[in-house]
Amino acid sequence: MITASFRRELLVCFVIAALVPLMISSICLVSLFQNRVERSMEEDAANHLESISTTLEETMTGMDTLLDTLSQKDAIRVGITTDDSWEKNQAYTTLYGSTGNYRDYATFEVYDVNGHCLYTTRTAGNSGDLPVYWGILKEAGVHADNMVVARASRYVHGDVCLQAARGIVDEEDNLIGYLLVGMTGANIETLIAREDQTAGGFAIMDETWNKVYCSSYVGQTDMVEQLRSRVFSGSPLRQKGDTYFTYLQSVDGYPFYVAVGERDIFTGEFSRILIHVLGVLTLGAVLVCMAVSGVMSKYLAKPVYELVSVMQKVRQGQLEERVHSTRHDEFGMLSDTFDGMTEDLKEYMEIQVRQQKEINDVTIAAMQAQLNPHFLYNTLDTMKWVAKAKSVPELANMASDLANILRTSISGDRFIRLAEELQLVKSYMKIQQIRFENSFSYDVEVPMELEYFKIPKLIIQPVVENALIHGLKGREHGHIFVNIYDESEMLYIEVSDDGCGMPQEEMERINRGEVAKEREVGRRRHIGLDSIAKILKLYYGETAGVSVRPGEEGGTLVTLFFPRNKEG
Amino acid sequence: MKRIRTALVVLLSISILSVGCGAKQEPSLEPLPEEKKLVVYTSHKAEIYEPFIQEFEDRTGIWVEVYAAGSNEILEKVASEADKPEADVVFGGGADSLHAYTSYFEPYQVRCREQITSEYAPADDSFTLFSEFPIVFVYNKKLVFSAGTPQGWSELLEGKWKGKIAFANPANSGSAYTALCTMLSVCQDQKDRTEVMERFAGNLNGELCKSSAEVMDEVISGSRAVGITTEDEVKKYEDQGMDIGIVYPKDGTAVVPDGTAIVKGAKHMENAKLFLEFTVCEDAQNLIQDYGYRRSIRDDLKTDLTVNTIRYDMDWAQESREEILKDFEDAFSEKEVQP
Repeated sequence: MITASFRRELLVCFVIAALVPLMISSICLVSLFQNRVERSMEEDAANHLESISTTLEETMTGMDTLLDTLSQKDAIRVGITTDDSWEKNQAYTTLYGSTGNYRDYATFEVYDVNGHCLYTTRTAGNSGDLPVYWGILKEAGVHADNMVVARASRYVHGDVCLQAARGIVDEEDNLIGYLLVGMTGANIETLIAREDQTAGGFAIMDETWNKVYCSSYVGQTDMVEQLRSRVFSGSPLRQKGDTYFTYLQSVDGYPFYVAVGERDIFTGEFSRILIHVLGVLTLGAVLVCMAVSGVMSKYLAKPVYELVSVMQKVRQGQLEERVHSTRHDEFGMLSDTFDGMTEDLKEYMEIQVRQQKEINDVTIAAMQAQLNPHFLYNTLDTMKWVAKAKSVPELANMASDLANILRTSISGDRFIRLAEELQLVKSYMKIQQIRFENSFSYDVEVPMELEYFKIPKLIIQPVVENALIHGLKGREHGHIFVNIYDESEMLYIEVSDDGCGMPQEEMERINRGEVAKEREVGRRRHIGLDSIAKILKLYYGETAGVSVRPGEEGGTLVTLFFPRNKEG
Repeated sequence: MKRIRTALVVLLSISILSVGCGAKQEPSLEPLPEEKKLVVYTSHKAEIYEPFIQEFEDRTGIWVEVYAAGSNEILEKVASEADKPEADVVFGGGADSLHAYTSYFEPYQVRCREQITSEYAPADDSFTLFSEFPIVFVYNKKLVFSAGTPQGWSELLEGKWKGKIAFANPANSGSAYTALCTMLSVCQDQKDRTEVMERFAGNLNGELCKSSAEVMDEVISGSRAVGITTEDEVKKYEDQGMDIGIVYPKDGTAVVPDGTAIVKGAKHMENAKLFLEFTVCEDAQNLIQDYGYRRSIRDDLKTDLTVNTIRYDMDWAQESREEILKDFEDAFSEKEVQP
């Protein structure tokens, strides 16, 4: 798959990015070039066609005039019928003398009315006879006033390919002979070359597109035959696979067409060279693409691999691993972000560990306080029964309450119902009332629906103990009031006393959530308010806590608060 | 991927369009109407058919497409195209060959039909005769004095001409086959057919010319002293000044005319009829006689032929063709293996 690696994706992208513009531009270039060449070929051909057809036209018109003049000459007329050698000489001299301008391009001959050749400007040989009932002489006989032109027939001796003829009539308008002009291929070449040195290959065709003359330079020797058969079958004149472009023009006033063949350079060798050049360019482009895509993919993939290896280490727990990228691009940003993220993760993990450790410390402390609880509990139970037997009810009650407290505090549950906690507090207060000889009162106000609400164990008792021991210290009478209520999803437990109150700085310290100094903790030997706050925060999060403020009638009001939706 | 593909398609179409902009301009021409066309299959040599085609085109303005090949090839082509004829006219081919293919021809009576009284003219006018030319001997004047020339077919069977006779393969050349049949008919009175065949084949010395044109080349160049060919060939080269002579066999020779036929179902029927009329018109017949070295088929125009002619049995020649060729082949190859 292409999408399996950077290298392949990049290679495909680069190849497309390199080859498509290359292809488009080369195609555009080639077609532009082709257009240009074709246009110039067309112009070239048009010029040649024009000059060739003009030359032919002028020559024929000149010959027409010449034949007209010759046919009027008495010397020629007499020469046809005479047997006198002097008159024959005169006729030949006239023929020879008058045709001087054209003899380089044509032979001139005089035929009698039966088609016997009488005089010829040909230097060697005789043209023999021609049928007067056939071909050009017949035409000339029918149109005695005009010159007729035609391609030469097979039975004409020599390599004459183009003929012009005119009948000669006497005073009574009787046909007495013919003037015949013959042009060979060499004559035509010479004639055209005189006017247009660069004409190159051309062909002359008659009205039915039969070949009159086709120069050897035209490239394709059967060009005329091919054109004719295309016209005959009604197929387009220009077809695929032609190595020559053919251009056509008719000769004004004469039944001929001139054709010029221009070599189509967009064939064979040229196309091969073009394909080779394009092939080499394409190959070069692909190689460059491969090299660049290799380098680029390495450049792009390396940081990714580094990042992946660091990520795997982090995943295995080596949080101290860092990428430490020196790059400033997107990969640098990615690495830096990852490093930061790992740093944060490490810190978070450390906080977690520390918190767990603290909870453990507290738990251990509690465990130490519960040393041998069953022994104590059993002892207390025994004490209760001994007291009852000895009829000391206070002692029995005390032992019973203490056992009650001890039972709750040594139970394995971290959370207990609010009612149980309050029962514990009540037992504790009873013992203390005996100790302090009932010098203070204790009240609880709690809505019925909250009695089954679970709270962390032993969070009210320490506060009450605190109030009793510190708040009512040195007082004859005192009152401790526990008020529990819920308000906007928060549970509030207020413990108030009417004692001496708490020093201002201590209150502020607790409200700020700071931990008491080591010396104070050691002195008190109990779980202080700050510890309760910590426990609440650990269980309920930051919304939970402890606040202290002076009571309305003096003393201290301690409030524990935590969200009531989170029941243990 | 899909988007890449779409992009490629768009790019390709752009490039195709840009190439399309460079399309060439065709030279425009009026298409040639069918009534100006005629397709002619000819087995004549170019020097014979070209003047006729040219004159026909000049006189009628009809464009003629010519397909030239050997007479057997042309007739087979016409037969194979019978369902969808390409040709309009078959121009050339001996009467004997045309005779075998009359079912592929459209009968047509030319206007001057009564002037053509040749015995070879088909009764149903399925083809029209064109010209006559007898089978003759040609000899190289440097190698044979006129007094020593073979005077008849029977002389060619004599041992003194062994290896001196140029003869075209009768399987390829229509005129050579006609000559072979003529010889068989002339000589069968005197000798057994197999013997005639064997003696003649023996005289050829295991060598045959590929075509009738090669016969003339062999004789003119002097490779062979005498040859068997048609009168027009000899006269043509004689006229060009070649040192050759002509002998009309005294014991009789065949004058088998050639002809012209309209192909059945021809696409350009009217033009084909015009062409047939043209081939037997006075001018054309004069031309074939004056410049084609052949004899006119028309009684009112033909020159006298003072040679001993035999009646050539076309039916027999056609029916026995396979057999005669096989006999000749056997006799010929038998002689060939001898040292």
